[in-house]
Amino acid sequence: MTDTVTGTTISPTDHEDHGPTTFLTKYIWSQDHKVIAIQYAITAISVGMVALALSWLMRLQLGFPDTFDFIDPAGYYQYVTMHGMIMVIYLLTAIFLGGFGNYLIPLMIGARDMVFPYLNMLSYWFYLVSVLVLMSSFFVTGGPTGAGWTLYPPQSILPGTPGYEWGIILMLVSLVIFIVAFTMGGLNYVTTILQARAKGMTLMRMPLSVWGIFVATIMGLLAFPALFVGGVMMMFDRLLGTSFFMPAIIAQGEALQYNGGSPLLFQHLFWFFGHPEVYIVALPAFGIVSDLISIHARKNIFGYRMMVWAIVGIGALSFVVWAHHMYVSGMNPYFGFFFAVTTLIIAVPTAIKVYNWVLTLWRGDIHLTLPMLYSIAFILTFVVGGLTGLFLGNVVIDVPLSDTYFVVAHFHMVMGIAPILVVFGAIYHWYPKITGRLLNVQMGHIHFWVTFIGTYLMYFPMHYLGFVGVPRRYFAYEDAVFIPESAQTLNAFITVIALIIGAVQLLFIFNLIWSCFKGKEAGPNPWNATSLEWQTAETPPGHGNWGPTDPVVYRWAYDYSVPGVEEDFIPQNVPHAKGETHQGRDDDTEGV
Amino acid sequence: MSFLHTLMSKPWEVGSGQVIDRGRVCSTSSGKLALTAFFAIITVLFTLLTLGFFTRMASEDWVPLIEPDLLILNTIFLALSSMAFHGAWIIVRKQQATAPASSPPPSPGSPQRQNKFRNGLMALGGVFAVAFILGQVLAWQQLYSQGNFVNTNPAITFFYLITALHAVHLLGGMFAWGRSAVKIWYGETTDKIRQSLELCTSYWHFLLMLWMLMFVLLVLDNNGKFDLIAICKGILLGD
Amino acid sequence: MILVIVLVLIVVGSVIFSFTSPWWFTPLASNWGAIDTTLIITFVITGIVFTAVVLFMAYAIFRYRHKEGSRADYEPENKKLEIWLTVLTSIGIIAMLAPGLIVWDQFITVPKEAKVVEVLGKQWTWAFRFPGKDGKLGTVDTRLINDENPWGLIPGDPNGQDDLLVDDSELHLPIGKPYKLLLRSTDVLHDFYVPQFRAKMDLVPGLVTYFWFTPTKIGEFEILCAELCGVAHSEMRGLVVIDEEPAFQEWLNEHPTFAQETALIEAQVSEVPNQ
Repeated sequence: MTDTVTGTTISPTDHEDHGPTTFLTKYIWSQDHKVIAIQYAITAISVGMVALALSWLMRLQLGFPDTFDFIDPAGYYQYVTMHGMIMVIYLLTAIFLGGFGNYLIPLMIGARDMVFPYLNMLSYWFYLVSVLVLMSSFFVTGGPTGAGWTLYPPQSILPGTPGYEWGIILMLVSLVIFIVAFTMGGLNYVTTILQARAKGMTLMRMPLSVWGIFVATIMGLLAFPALFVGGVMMMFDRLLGTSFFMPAIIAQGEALQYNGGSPLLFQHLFWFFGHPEVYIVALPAFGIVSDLISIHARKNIFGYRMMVWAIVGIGALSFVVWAHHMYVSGMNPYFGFFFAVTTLIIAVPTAIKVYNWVLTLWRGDIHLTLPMLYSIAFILTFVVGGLTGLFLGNVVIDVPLSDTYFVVAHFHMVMGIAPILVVFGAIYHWYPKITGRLLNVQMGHIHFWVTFIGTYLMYFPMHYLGFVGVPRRYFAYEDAVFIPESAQTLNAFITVIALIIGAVQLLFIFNLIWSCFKGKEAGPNPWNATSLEWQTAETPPGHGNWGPTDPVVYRWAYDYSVPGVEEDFIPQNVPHAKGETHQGRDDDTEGV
Repeated sequence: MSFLHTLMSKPWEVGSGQVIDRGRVCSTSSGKLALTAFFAIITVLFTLLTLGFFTRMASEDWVPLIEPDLLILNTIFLALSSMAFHGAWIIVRKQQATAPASSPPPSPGSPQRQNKFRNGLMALGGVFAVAFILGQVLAWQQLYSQGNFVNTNPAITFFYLITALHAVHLLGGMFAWGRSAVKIWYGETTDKIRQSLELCTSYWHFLLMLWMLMFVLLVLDNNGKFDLIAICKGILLGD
Repeated sequence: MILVIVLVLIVVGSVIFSFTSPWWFTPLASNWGAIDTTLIITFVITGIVFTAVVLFMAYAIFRYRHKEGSRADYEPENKKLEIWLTVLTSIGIIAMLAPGLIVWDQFITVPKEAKVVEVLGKQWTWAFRFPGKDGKLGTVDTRLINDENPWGLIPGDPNGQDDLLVDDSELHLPIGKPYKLLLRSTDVLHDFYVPQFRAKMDLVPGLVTYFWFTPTKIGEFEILCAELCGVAHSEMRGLVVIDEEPAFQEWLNEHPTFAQETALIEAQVSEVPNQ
């Protein structure tokens, strides 16, 4: 485009053409982005299974109170805390950016690797250390912290809170290490996308997956410092007795030495990170699902430009909505006006994305493959989660609903289930590229139907518990008169479903391993997709991705069913031929 | 403008295929781009600290801290360090302008003297940076010996926190400095040395600027009790 | 095909569920009917959008599912349609947001005639303090709190002497009178939440937060803590009893003032050496 300045180019020989040879350098201390991606994904899924198991324990207590003696309130709150933190940060953030980001960015933009492969490797090892530190908190005196995943002070660092001894310290240390890991990875992703695209790959020709990951990474880089600052300050308060977040406190009859600190300051820092974090998880999901829908409906994504603008717009807006998590926190109530307006404005680009997904299906040629099924499930789940967000963002409606099960149902729909459905869809979609084999379809269907219908049955009724006013983070509800008896039946129902859904995830894990050896051979491009990762010389792609010659890009990633061309897809590295008409049916109405 | 222009383009049009994009946003090295992004991150980090500082300052238990005079000396050390790096970088840039970058001929005489001068300046930069960090530690010790512990009052806490985080970033820079030193030791090409020196120099300039801002922030609450001008006069006039 | 049926069933099921499920709001017992109204507006609008989007999607899948020889359209964008959808969405958003902001303004604007009562939360009980005849609450300091002075009232403050102290997690209020609740915590975050009143607000140590409401129904209502406050969070309950004015006054007068309490304790202390 305007880039005419000559400068040093990254030649393909910048790193060795011949890949690493020993097992250790190839699979363990690897600097290859594909191996690092798999390492990230396996670690994230493993730690995610721990969080899944914790959710079973929570659901057992909620569904059948007074039945399981080994669950006490302290334990329950520890499960809640660790489940939340692991799922949001160590699973979703890590798998979308560390996993999919690492795998897809270089392949989709036509690069041979990340710009800084060594830094990329370090990023993974720091991530692994952060996970290990977090897991170690299960084995120390007092166990992991039970302060809730938001770690609100003063409670999180007061004696009497589970994990006061070591859990909270390990949590904060782990977060700081994670942030360092993420910063190393994130600088890499951003620089790679900006600097290492193949010839002809303009920014606007990138698949939306890359756009989503790109913007999410920038957001992460700017948002995580807030968590870093909050974490370090809290560590000071806990270990050195300073008073950043700690006012004068009488805890259990005893006056503590703290004075003058502000608990609200932590909440601001936390949510200044925490809200962008929601979109750090959501934007890669948005991007990936756009590609899945387009590919499996054999149709270009509807309104590509609008989709890019929406991703950028959501990314920018998400930095000015954080206090909508704090409407009833006791902050200056006049902030409510501002944050309600910004929050509801963000609904507009988000709604546009939903419309465009659905309009991509319209007049498509929809193949109901597993990735497509997951994408449709995602749209439905996300629509519910997004719409319930309008309740909570609209400041005054948040007053009765905040801290009830409505919130729990909302955020599980919007940033738990919806992104996870995309993760599943994406794994079914790219598994053939990663391993060369297709995942088993029968197992996939069982996994899909149970997960999709199960999660809906679980979380849709849960909103209504919130309408009743059932508060969240309660160990038990005995003798709460306003809660009808039937609510307990519903809780038991939800628990049973949760256990079934959890069990089906084990089937999915089994499928991942089984298909790696026994799956059907996929060939280089089983979905007839246009984007570059399907055009590699080998499948799985070898070290350096492209063989001897770099790919050259001639078109955007969505040339499906182009009029005048017989094939219903044209890969990005195929030059324009005569007879292609790129006029849409309504394009002629445009003046310019 | 170019980014907005890019966002407006219609990638599906055949016409857009005639422009062959080189796949790079800017002509500078990737390292420099990444470093700039890193500056943005550090800026966010210290901006949040600053906001925390002001929030906390408003509370009634805030007792202004009279910072040790030593900080002025430390600031001078850091500035000298930064200047030494800058000098080394200027030499390298000149070397590159005179010699073709592809094959630097080992011509005798002046280039070698230049190399020596460059290495000397880099070493000097490192030494001054170490002096700065040691000076900061000394300042901590002074405060500590006066009974100003990290939890004595929030102003002191912030002093320790901000100086510590800044020092950690400088230590990270020292790591990069060490790597450049190793490169020079093993006789890397001028081009490689230039790249890492360029990054070091910008990083040092950034940290110097950051430190000066943080310094001003830390002495803001003293209502003139920490009189910069008087102290400077004192140092300059020697009384 | 199964997918289309499932999608339609989900929509139909969700709508039926919304009308027939036994889980809905508790009967309102305060003046905050406006909150319910804004909520219903949002509920209806979002319900319509949900139904429309999902049914449209189901129809699209039904009509354009892959058949032998079928081919997708090529349509990069459709500006007119996108602008229309953006405008429609914005209108919907405004329809939800505008009433919300109006009601929020009411929520944070305390009427002048509102009386105050202090709510004190601590792990894991509630206590309350009414101003005495002077109508003013005495100033407090958390650092003064001890067994003799659980509120941390400053002993010399004349405003505090006639403050009435309620220390048994049961709060009585008269019906029909607006009350401003001043919320204070001595240890961790709590949240004063009565489902039937719709209002809630966090108690933050080091701060005094507030909200106001007017009780409109006589009866007993449970107070719950709605902000995680430690292992016994779910047991931090209390009771609000809404009385007629005379019954309320009678209840209130049963409670000691700060001056009486202090005198009582001093008397006990002076008795000790005599024994």
